[in-house]
Amino acid sequence: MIQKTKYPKLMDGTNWKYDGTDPIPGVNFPRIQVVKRDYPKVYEKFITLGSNVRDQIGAKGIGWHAKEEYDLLRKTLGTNKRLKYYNDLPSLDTDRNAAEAILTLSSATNGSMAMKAWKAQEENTGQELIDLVRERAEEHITFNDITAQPRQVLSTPIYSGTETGGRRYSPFTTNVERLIPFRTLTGRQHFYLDHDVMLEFGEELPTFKPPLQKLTFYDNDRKPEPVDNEITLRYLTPHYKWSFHSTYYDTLPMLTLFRGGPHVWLNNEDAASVHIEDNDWIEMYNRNGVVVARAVVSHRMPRGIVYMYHVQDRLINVPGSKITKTRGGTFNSPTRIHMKPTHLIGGYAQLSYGFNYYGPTGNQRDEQVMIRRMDRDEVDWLED
Amino acid sequence: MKIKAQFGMVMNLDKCIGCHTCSVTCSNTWTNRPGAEYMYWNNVETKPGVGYPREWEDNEERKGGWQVRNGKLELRAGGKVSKLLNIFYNKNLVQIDEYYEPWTYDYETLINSPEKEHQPVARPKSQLTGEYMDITWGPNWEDDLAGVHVTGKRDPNVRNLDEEIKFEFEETFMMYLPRICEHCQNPSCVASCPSGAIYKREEDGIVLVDQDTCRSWRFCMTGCPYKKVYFNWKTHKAEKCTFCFPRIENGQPTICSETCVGRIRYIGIVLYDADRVLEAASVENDQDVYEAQLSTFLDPYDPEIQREAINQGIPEDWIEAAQHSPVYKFAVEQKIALPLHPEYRTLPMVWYIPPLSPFMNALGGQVDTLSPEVIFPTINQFRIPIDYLASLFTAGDTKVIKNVLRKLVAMRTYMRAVQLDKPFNNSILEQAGMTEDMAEEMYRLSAIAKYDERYVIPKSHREEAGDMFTHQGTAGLDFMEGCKTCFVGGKILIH
Repeated sequence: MIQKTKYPKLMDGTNWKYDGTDPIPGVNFPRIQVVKRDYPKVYEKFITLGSNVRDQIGAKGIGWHAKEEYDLLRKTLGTNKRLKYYNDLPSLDTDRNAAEAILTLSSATNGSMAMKAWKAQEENTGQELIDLVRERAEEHITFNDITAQPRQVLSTPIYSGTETGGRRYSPFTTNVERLIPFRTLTGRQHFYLDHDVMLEFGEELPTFKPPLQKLTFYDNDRKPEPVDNEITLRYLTPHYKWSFHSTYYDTLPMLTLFRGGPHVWLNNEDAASVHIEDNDWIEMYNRNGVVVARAVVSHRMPRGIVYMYHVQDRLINVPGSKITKTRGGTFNSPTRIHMKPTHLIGGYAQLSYGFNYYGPTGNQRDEQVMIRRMDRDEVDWLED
Repeated sequence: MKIKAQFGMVMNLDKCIGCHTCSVTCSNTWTNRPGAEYMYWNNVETKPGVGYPREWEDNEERKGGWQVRNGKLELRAGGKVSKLLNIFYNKNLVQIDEYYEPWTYDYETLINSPEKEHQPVARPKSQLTGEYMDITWGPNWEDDLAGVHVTGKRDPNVRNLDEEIKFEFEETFMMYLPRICEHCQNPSCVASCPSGAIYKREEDGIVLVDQDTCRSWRFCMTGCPYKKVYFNWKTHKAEKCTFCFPRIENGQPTICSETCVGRIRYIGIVLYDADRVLEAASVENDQDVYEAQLSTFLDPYDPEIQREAINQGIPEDWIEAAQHSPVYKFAVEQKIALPLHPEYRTLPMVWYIPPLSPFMNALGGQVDTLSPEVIFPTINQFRIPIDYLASLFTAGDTKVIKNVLRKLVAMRTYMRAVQLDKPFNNSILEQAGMTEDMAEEMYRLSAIAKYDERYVIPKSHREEAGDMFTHQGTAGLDFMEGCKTCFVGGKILIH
């Protein structure tokens, strides 16, 4: 049974697991969606556009239809007569068709979709909003258009900013100026969370939490043999100017423009205290993992801290580690995801898992690492 | 008076974010081919630092540029006679390792490796020898002060600073310096070439190497004080920044400018009197070269100059372009752009607006940024020492740098007052030698100028393309050694 409440009323004091109450999906149990798969058809489903979007498309709690756009796609993309099951649906058998379908169905790139989206948002909010896109209602940005040059997207209720009138995007402008409720429980700028778990942990309001005092190794850990010159530093992984998250920079031109491989920044006095010089190979390690990289020594670094910019590939210029006898790791080898109970709240307001929207906080970077120098003749490329 | 049109560039260092997009697009366009892969016609240096090639600025050692001896301008590396005597051994030549040994990676291993105990890794391999190599230097080794607590001490510009202090964390300062060929008015590379292969284009001042005429002597590499002529080890010819002439001739900006993320670059032409170049480059005092160079520039609004320019064959649309030139505005009208190392006496044509920087231990913490009593003293508290900027841009003359910084600060303060609708004390502008109009124009050009204002590039005149070929290989300047007789297309041109 699927309860159609928008936000499940969690924490009604019952716990089906222990007190014999019934688990009710969407009430005291996650909502359940039954998905049926007809496996022989999966591939064809993948390369065609199903007709459900004719009736319902949208995001962020707003929905509208795409009847005209779907029918248009059937004409512009064509159908694939060679298919067995879905040979009358718009064909997504090329990357280009897939891109074209997205541009046609998105309210950020197709004026007719944007009009419908704003209309739906008008109904949601009781505010007049459609003027935000009326002047561009007839525009439809195609793949050819964005191949020729970048285009400015249309204003859409999916985002909280507006670019109408040549304005630069800034978040929450339509919330403030057009009185569209913020996407919070109260519809206002809202920092208080009355969830039981948040209350229990004293985090119902934004709270300062100092860095976790994690050690490099704990008593029962397997530790590498200590050496004379090693230093313990706080480990940070800031965004690099040329790479971040899943955008790596490890191409020949970019690697040529710095040190040619993974590198770790530390202060010159810290480095000198353990006889590390600029461009020396180092091992950096703690209970979670080992990095082998080049030291970048600089007086611009404060003492007590080491940077390894994320993200740096470990497929290029990474020798073996003496400690592990295997290849050195990445910037994330010394870190470990560290969950706390408040991360486990689900299904309540913004505390609901959404891909790329909600995950644990960055506390896995509250780490310390130890660093020691590797002599040039200790560099083993592990070719075997 | 011999009127010449000359392309120039201004880089507003206040806006450079050190992203190196210019270097990447330049090398993708021009130098990613064997023999040229180590060349960065455009590079970006973190200063302080020794740069690329290492210690290029140390011309006591490198012998680039000109010097005045007994009132006479001569090449630091020696004139014709000494060149002839040493033609088979140029002891001042920069070696490849001082640029860096170009490398690539064994990428194939990642795909083709057989199953092994350890996962494969792409190791660096020299592009010169094909052998595995240990990377120990690169074209941007000192990025964001990497290793500069050591190398920085060999930066000639820190000589006058208390260097022990400047390389400590609390005193750290840095700036980015993007560099291309300066396309000098008085190019010492041209004068150094025994074969007359480097020439300064008659019609627009762009300095190019004639690949057919180059005889691999490499004296241009020594002669250039900016070390912006490179040697292709495969073709054995000199190569250098071309100011993207195929684009420029078509009215488009250079690729480094076109792709500049911070929009720091400006391109335009200036008209100058070629007859005055020798005199300007020969003034006795290094610190007077900047003003002397300015004095060679001609006012494109002066009807006399216009008439004479047309008589001498400068196209009318070029005169108009000279009037709208952002280079002329920044360098001559506003006087906030400065030449890099004027003491090299090549009269470079890539000019720089020096960067502002945060001020240190600022005046008791709370700073009223609109008060004239506070505004100007902050200049002396800038993180980047005045002496350092002076060493880069004014041959050590701090007065000139301070004047420029004062103008930049006054402009910002004025605009801040305008934006916030606050009362403004006009004495701030007056003390900087500015008016409200000037501040507005400076703001417009340096902060919000659009493409067409940043790049005022008159197209070349195709109908005169035949003449361009005649002038190929000539320097356009009579007095310079090395190019009085030049072979071009089987014809000797004698000036």
